[in-house]
Amino acid sequence: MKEKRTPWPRWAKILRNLLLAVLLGFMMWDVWGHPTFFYMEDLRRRERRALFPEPEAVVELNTIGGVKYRIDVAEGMAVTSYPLRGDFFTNANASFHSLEEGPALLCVSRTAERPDEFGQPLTCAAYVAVHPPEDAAGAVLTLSNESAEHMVEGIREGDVFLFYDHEYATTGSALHMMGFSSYELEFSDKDGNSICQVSG
Amino acid sequence: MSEKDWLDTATKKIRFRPDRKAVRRELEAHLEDMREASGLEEDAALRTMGDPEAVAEELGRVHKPWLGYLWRASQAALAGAAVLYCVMLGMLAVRPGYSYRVLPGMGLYNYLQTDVDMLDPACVIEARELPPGAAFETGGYTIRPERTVLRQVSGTDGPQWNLYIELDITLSRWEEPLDYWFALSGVRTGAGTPCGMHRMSACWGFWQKCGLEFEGLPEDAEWVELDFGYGQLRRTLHIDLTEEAEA
Amino acid sequence: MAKKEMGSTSMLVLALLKEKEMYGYQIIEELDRRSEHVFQMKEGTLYPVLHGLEKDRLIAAREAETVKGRVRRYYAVTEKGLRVLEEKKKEWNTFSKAVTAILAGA
Repeated sequence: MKEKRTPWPRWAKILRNLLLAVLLGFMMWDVWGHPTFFYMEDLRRRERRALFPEPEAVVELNTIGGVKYRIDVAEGMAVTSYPLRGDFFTNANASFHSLEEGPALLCVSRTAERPDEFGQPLTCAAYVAVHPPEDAAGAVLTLSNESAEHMVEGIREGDVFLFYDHEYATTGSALHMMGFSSYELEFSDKDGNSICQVSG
Repeated sequence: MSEKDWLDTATKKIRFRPDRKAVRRELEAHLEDMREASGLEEDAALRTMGDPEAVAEELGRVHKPWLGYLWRASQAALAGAAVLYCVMLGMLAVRPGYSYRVLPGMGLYNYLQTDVDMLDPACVIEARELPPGAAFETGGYTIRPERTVLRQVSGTDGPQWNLYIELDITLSRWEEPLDYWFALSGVRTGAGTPCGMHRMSACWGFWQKCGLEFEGLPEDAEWVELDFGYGQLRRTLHIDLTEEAEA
Repeated sequence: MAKKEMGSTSMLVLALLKEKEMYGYQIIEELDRRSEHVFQMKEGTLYPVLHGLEKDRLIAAREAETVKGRVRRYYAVTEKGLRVLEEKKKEWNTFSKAVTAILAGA
């Protein structure tokens, strides 16, 4: 009498199929380079890989397209990033800026938006001064190139100063891309006395 | 009622098709056995089988379709995953810069093949093995300096001193290698800084190998310090250039 | 798994299968023969019982092909089935002793 091989019980076949499907899924994820699916997940991963600690200060700016521009500040390094939507994944477009001691100026690489008195969003260029002096209450940024000088008032937000430039709405990740060759940052305390000056 | 009708009626309440077919086959075989053994006529034989409707009820109650549907679903999931895997491989193959990781195992193979020291030995005038610095841990990474070599090489502007350090790094998260480009926060020697640096890295799973080559060290430098990380994660690796490694 | 009321049919089927592996028609024949035509089960009633026992893992089935090329499903009793059979036998003995006792007095 010919005998058929003992078939697997149905529940075992189901389990085997599901495990193989999960294994294939893992292999797909591995071969594709382990993408993460969410913006914050990707940003945290990039920060971890750069040995970036918990940020001392976090700033979020509104930029065009409703995209939130984020700046994480720690001692010696600042990370600027914003979400970048891909085909299946949302990645973080992150840039790492090493910082020297003392205050430093970062250029926001996206056109920022800031509501005016009527709540209408106005586009502008934005700059951020990180690691300001503790007692600084005001700051003025002077941007210059060969032809002109241009001053912007700063607003203190937590541990940084934000500068919104409504006159020139260009953007770039470095000063020369914004059309300027040098800058001067002057911090003053609440009485208006100048505490510190930084240039670059 | 014909035999076929009886069988159809009796199995109609078994909703999952493969089960229904299997039971029908069994009942059909039974009818054949009965016909052979007893030689009864069709009608009489079917009468001894009983009321097909009642049988249908009972069989329907025993053979619930849910496990069958689950099985079909698991087959679909597996087939879908297999198709997706092939499609994904196709998409990756046409992308520029594809690294030919068809299977996860290939990453490990490439990792083991990687020679992080890419310096052409012909350029080396003199080489001295140094005792490697102490291993340290930060941000979930365990960094173990291994081979450390101080070499004098013939550069474009004449001979220069290079320091080569091989790091063996253990990761705490799957496939998240240290981004040496940014993780290295500072380089110092007692007498100035090196003028250039080359880096090379290979990674698979929880392991990473990294090679750093610092070029143009000041001649009178007696030690080199490397800073890894920022803020509370900052760690410094101190390398003594005057010591000699044990043979 | 829902605990179904085990009919006496199931118990008899288990008892038969304890001795040897049998296929559907064989079971009907054996029941008929051994009970001296007292138990003449309708074929249609047997299969739901068999499949029910199989689903409860009291019996196990395997398919085999005969010389003539017909595929038969042979059923054999499992460990669990043997245990359940012993339980049912005890229950039946208690039941029948009680019945006999009452009838003896009548």
